[in-house]
Amino acid sequence: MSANQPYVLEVENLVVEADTAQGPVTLVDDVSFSVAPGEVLSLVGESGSGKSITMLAVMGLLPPGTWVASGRIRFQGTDLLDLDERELNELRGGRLAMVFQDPMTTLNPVRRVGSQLAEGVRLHDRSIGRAGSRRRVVQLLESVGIPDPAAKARDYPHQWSGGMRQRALIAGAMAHDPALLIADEPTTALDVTIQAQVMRVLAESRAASGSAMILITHDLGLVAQVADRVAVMYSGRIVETQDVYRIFEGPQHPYTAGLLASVLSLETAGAAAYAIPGQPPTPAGRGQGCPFQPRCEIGRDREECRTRPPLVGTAGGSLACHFPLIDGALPVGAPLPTIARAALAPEVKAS
Amino acid sequence: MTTLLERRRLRRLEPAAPEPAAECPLALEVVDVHKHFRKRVGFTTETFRAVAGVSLTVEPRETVGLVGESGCGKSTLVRTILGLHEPTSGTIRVMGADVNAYGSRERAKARSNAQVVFQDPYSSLDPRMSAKNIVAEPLRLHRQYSEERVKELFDWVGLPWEYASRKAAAFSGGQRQRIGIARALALRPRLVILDEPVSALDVSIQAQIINLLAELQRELGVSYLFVAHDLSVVRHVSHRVAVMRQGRIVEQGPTEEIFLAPENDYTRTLLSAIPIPDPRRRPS
Repeated sequence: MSANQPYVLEVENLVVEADTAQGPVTLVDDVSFSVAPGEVLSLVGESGSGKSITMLAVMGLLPPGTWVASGRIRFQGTDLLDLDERELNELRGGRLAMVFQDPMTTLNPVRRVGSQLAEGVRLHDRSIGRAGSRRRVVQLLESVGIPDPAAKARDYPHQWSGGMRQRALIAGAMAHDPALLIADEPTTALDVTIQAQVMRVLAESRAASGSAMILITHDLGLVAQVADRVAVMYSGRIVETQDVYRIFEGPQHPYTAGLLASVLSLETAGAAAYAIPGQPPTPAGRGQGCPFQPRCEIGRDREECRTRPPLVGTAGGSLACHFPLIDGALPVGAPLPTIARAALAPEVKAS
Repeated sequence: MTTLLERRRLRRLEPAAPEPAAECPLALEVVDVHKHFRKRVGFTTETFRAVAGVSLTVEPRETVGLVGESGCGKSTLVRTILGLHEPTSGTIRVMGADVNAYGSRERAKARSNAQVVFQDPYSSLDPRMSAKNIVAEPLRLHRQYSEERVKELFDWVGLPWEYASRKAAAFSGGQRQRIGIARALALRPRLVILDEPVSALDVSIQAQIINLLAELQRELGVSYLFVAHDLSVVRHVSHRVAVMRQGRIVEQGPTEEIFLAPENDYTRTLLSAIPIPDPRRRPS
């Protein structure tokens, strides 16, 4: 049945609200997106933009005081919001897997790594038995490049480095060939050389199982290297989705353009850092208009931008903006960014 | 890769760090510093050389980037410079004053001139103090407190003043780091050690903070020791870069030289591991 579905995951008009002292606020506002089998969708946005909350809603792991107010989340055709906790547990860690940011806090410090992974293996495959699950764990650890996996499985998490722990978690998540892997900032806590290693392991195990992936990250370098499609979130809404090549070449939403312009890469060194002015609004402080309007070079003074732009389909993606950019030109009249390094001549560039 | 001529040109384009006149002391001078830790292993003790002979200088108004991966000893070096560890051997001077001098006056001078923004914004702020009190604390201790100054610091680091009365625990990691930066800048120190100051911030905010740090350097003439593992950020902010590995500095020099013509294999490995923000340039 699942093979005939055009999408592994379809999220439609998802609204997530949370309780605060000032009453309920909307954290995720009318978010829709879908992921095709085997695809890598990257969810990009600043902290507080709702990207993690959206994914927690998909996993049914929203923190207390937070709830799905409306919308549908369909995973391989089943609406996850209709499932009870027991049915969700069947899915989670099995066909629907997740890797979190911090490998230090995801593993139990007082249990051996191998036994923790074996527990996950047994939960979704009751017939495998203790010895079988142990063998499977060794196999899994070997597949993510842990040297001497049989001996290492008997270690406690603190005996492992951060990169090894994250690889172990990936191994655990990939144990049942998930249809969808949600990776929330999987390499943020790691060094660059280790990040490269972990991303390679992730790509290899995904290639072996054909899993789709949602990669939540704020590292646009990583996005450019691994994503097929990109969804940009701002202030609880999706403002632009697009093919990765198109979005890097010609972002249409001024926020996407600003984000891309503010990326510090080795090659932009010497030029100043572009900073989007201002702050993202707090969930309670969002007005009726376009949430980006106060920071937008184009819309700041335009009457039209005081109403909220709907998310509409564009060629190859979607966009929520009244005045989209053409050819990814930087916001018209954007002030020249402050010179970060006065002394570096612009002609000095990487060869 | 680069010809000698090109290198000479690069050297000329090196940012104008002021001439170190005799009466103008170095912001930071680290001379052959070692920091060893003893670890008991069975009946013997093992010595772990976290910092194994580091020499480093930071001129006034200069930013020196210190790069290395976790465990290379950069945080131990930072703590030693701040006087939180006593060095096993070697000397550290901040504005000419020895950080570990006997007699409290010189030491106090050295230490108040060196402030720090720590890596972890969760453990470096008291979660029960309000944001404005965290920023105001050093000002109060030094009898320089005014609400305008605290407001100004909030504005500098991009924190809305409406949040001022919230407890530190109510802020996100990025916002907490900004409180930490405001606190470090409160007393207008001559040297600020930035220990991974932007790795917890969002891209658009990273750029704000980096531009802000540059602006503050121009206005206050403050020097930075910018410790980070992110080479692209380091390249943007640093005049000079030192690459650290296993307690030693394996390569140091003007930023452009390190990035255009790295001589050390480890520096090259680090450079090649950075994801390029261009989807057309994937490593197949």
